[in-house]
Amino acid sequence: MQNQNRSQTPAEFFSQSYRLSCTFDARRQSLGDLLYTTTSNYLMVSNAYISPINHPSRISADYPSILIVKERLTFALTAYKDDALRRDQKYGSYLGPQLTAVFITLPHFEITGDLRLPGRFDPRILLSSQTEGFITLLNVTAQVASNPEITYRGEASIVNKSQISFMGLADH
Amino acid sequence: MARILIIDDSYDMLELLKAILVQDGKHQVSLSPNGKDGLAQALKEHPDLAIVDVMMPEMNGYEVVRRLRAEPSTANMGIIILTARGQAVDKTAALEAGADHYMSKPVDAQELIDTVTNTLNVPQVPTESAIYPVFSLRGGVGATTLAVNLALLLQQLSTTVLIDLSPNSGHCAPYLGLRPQYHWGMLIQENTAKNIDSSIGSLTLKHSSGLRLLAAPPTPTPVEQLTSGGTELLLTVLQRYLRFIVVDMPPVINTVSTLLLEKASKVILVSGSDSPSLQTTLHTLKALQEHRDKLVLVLNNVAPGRQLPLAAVQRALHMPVTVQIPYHAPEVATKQAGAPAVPSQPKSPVVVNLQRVVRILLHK
Repeated sequence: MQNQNRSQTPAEFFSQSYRLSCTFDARRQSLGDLLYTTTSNYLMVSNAYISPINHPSRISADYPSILIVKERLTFALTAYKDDALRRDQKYGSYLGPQLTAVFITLPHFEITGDLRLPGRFDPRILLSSQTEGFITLLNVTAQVASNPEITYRGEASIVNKSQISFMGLADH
Repeated sequence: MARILIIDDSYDMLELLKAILVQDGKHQVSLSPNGKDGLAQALKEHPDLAIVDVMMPEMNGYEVVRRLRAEPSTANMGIIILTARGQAVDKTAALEAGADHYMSKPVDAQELIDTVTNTLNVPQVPTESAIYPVFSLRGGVGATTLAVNLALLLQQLSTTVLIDLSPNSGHCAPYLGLRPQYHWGMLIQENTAKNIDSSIGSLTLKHSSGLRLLAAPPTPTPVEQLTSGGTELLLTVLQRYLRFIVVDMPPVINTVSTLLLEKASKVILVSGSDSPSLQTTLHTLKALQEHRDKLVLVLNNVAPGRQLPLAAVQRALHMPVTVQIPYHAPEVATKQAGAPAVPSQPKSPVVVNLQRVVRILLHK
């Protein structure tokens, strides 16, 4: 029987075909801190259960620990935004965060949510490969493109920029 | 006080749930740290209710629930799935696996107590006879299949009769592998309860499960020959001897079907998911407005291929779908071979979802 550490925070990770439900150690760093950092290409999570995205009731595999390859990740989802925001995103800049409604297509998924940016929004900078590898969305709904009845929701999502094919912007 | 088994791999969660259920709920609680042991414990102890986590090593919660539902001794126990997987699809997955209720972590103590209380009230065989018409104004949506399998499931709990009210040679008898040599057409001339009482025993056909069938006449019979008065006498007699009366209704609203709808404890309204079926169901719902609180809406997908999303169906009907039964090709094949799903495929989606219907019917 596991005496689970209370700092283990639940999160969901999505690749092209699979959903990984697991927990990560949030004692020192949020999921945003762990994913955005370029010091590691991998992320270690615990109590991991893998399901095909089209068959939520089928658990294909489970492992006490799993390594996630960041560059192959499509997006991650958390129920609470504080579990996902980076330290600097939580405290913000003096300009305050700007919310911009966006629609994003990813392999097998369509995502709607609010892009949270400090200061003025510039999509050229946002999607530039020279900047960070991920973007953070709030109030997220991810819909399986081939099966719109299956949706995943969370207060926050961290999306892999290299997996984005289209980004629709409202009021820009 | 009820006996509750909690199956969860988190020590903290086990202790928390136990504290809530013992202190606030005054229940007797036993604990199990993983799915495999929990399943064995449930099969041995037969608790009144199990609270099952999903993400557990060795055996996940969905599998535990499926196996509990497949065992006759635990098939009707209360089951709540409590999981950190908190998405809408996880609720659907939990209910499809056979759980009565779904809750997501973190758990609220009062919500847990309320859900446990609700679930414990479910599986009680009524002391008085109950009538359950299975109804659809559109043919071809699988109402007869559902009526037959529902009757077989109820027979596992208590004495049940299935009445096939089709005026045009019904299909219940062949589906049960029975020859309709006796049928309700032979009762049409009987006009007293005493006469019906003396002949009903010999007119019902008995299936190997113990289920009794009052078959439809094998040749077309004028609808007007079956009167509401005669039907009322028939029901009075059957209710003396049998606990459950399932009626495979004709696709019409006439005096007989109106009588049955009035006398029913619950009405199982069957709809297909194609547009014409939904149109018919919408009109049926309007016609049955006065019985709305008795309706159990079953969405039966009888054809393969993509279906309308459940949310869209519910929006169109202005009513929540109680149970959705997915298309299951092996069930169709065995039906064509004259074998109902309950005995031949007890773990099929049809049976698992009809077990949910049974629990809803028996809810106090």
